[in-house]
Amino acid sequence: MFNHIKTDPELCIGCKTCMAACVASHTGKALFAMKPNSFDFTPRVHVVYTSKITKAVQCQQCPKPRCLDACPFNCISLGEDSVVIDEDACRGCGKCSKACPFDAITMTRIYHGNTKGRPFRIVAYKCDLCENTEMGKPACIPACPTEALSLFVPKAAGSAGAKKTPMKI
Amino acid sequence: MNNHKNIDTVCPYCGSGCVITCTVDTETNRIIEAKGSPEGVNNEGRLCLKGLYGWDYLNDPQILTKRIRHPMIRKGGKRSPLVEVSWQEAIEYTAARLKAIIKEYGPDAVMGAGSARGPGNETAYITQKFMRAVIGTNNVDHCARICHGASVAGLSQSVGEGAMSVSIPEIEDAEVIFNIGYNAPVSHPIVARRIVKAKKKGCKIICVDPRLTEMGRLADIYLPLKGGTNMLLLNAMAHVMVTENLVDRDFIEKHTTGFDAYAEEIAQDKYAPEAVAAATRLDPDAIRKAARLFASSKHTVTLWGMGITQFSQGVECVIACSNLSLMTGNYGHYATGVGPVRGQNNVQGTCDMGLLPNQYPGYQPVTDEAVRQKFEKAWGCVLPDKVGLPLTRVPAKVLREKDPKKQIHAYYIIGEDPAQSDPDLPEIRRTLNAIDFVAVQDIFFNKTCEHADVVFPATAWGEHDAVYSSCDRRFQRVRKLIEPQGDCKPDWEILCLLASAMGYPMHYHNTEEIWDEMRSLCPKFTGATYEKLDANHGIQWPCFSEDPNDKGTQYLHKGAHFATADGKGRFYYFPWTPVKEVESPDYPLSLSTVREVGHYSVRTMTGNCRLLVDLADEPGYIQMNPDDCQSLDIADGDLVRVISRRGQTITRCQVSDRVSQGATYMTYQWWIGACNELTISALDPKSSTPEYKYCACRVEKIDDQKQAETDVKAQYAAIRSRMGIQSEGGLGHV
Repeated sequence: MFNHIKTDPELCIGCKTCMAACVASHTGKALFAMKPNSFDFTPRVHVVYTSKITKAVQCQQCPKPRCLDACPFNCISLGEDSVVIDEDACRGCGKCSKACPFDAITMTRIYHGNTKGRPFRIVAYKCDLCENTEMGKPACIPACPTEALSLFVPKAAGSAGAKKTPMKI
Repeated sequence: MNNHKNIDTVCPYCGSGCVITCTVDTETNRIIEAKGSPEGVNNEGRLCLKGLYGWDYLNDPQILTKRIRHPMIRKGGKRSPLVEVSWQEAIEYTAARLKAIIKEYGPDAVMGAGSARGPGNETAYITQKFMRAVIGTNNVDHCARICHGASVAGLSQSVGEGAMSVSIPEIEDAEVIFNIGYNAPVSHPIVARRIVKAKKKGCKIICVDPRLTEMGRLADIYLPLKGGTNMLLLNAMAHVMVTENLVDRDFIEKHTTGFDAYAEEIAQDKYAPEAVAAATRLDPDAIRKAARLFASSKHTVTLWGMGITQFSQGVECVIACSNLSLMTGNYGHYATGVGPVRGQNNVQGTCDMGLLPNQYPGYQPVTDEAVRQKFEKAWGCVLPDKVGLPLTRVPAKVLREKDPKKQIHAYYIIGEDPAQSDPDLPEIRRTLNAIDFVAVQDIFFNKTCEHADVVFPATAWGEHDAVYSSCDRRFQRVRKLIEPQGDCKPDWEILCLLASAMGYPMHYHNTEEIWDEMRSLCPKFTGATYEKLDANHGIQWPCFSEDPNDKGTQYLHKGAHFATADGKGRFYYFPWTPVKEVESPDYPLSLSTVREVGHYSVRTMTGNCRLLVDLADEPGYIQMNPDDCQSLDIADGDLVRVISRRGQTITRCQVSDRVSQGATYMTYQWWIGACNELTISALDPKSSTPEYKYCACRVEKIDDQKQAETDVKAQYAAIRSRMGIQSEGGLGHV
């Protein structure tokens, strides 16, 4: 099991600060000097509002990811400690997004960066735990005003988690 | 990096009073980053998205509108273009126009609106001094009129002090939170943080809201009442407390007056939960449970927002809320009392500073002769003794007042945008066009500037020093972060120049000089020196003494000694008054205005912040119940036309089963989907606060969606061009 971010719906107030923090983290501080509309707003976390629940939803970094099996172009792989989408290779077919049981992959149109010579390109975006950002660790966690987000570390939770999970007989 | 400096200041959004640490690059004169400061008493190092990313407007990215950098006047008269002029020319022109109007019609022909936003308390003090001492009128007001005006009026009557009695950190130690007409997750995420923390500690939450808000979702008892029936519910809860003997007899006897007469009225059968069930659309058992829960604790905190105050019965419902706290002994100790949580960063401060037609700074009445003499002596002039005009009465005084001597002929507007924020915008535009002289002092070109005869460029939050008052009465220092560009001046300096040009020399070297003058005239604030603000994470008023040991007041009415003349809380009974415009066959839906979490006020600031615009942008949306959408054959995301008796607008449909059938909700931040084209200017007779929370409308399907999308883009482009932006941009990426 990989590390992944968890949301406590009892604390989540649906304010979308996590989404803004995600884009700020991935675009970098240069964002505030860039021309508006010259970068893509591609949050890798989304706040979902159902009739009863509000919750930030992000990739759970499944050990046996259905998205990986669903991708016809082998753009998804298991990294050292997360599920990785090769965004440059992604062809935007959306099969991973449909396969994800958490609805944590968002198909987004991008108009900048690598659009492969076209006006826009559709790319699958999901939480990458901010691995390749300046900060190097999830930006949404410290940004959340209600501390609803936390990093679940299975190794650390290992023994304690095993005790809590009721055994099926 | 050597040229990077960390500066602590206070967030310019909402009244939570969060302390922000800003990293500033002094070489490029830009903010690099904002982080929550652990020094912030209310935010404990946390910020919401506006605090984290809402400073971007200082970079002037010109998304919705652009910064004003030079004074401008309409040299060719009304409707001629605004042209840039020197400060001297703009000041002399304005002074001459104001003097001519005062000479012809008298000082009460001038109205002043101050700013509860960036400028801060020192400018607020100077604004009311300018209006009172230089112009000679008490016609000075600000946006509290259209938001918590009813709370100030109602609580003053009930307990003698119009502010939050409880402090933000105390909320987390409440045992019961009675949350009515208040949606902290959207309006004050950092207050919501305390509410969800309280819940984790075992606090029970009652939420009253016609729409299932985030608060409603998190509540233990959720009461989805029919909009406009607050008083029926509040009286029914009081009825349960009185008839089931849940009241605190000892507290009532020692600390209140008027209970017996009140209880007699409230005990009438018509207020039994079963009797109000039909009108409120609530389950009587749920009302009884809520009343019992409220009365079960001495740590019940009542929080309310615009869902109480923006009704034509706002003041009376504020008093009805306070009655519940009074009869259950929920006043005067830690983690109890009332919280009318103020919306704008300094709207508490602008009330504190007397930007009100009936009060000098420090809540001292203009009609009190001894008080007036004190201010006359300090300011060296004769002051008017008559209460001034609330700003929501301006349209009537312009469009419907027949006697020219009693009309408003000049409107001086600082950091406000009535042409976007006030109800019934078609009427506001007619009003602004009919006024002889409109002066605007602002940081951004806005909709009101389009009607202005003169526009002054002011410095923004981040470009000047100030003190803000948070919603829980905490004075905190706000620091200059970067150097202003162009010809901008701090608002108080502009007013001093104008005062001097009008024959009343006003000069201050810095904000502390203004602050010290204010303190010397306001007993409640006298002890709050700059030095003590720095030493104590700010100071909560009242703070009477400059002695370093007087560190202010965390909660009001300690020991239940109320701030009324006799020290007692007062019960008042009020019957229910229905809303002013109900649904009809032509306008079958109700409309209530609400907030967008990532945007603020009239959106000049947040509408020019990259990340916030990307999260939510024009033309906004109208929240509707799925059944209503189905019967109109409209789908989520469709552009729709919304029409009321006042006007119409285009916005996007947002289908939500959190909204009950027949009710609709529009966030008030949008310029294209401007809900105030539709709202009604019916006012609370006591506080003159508009009924933003209820009017009738209809929604129409637009058949040609493609054309409508094109029209919305064209409208956005047109707005940007009217605001003076020449570059491409605006809605969408294509």
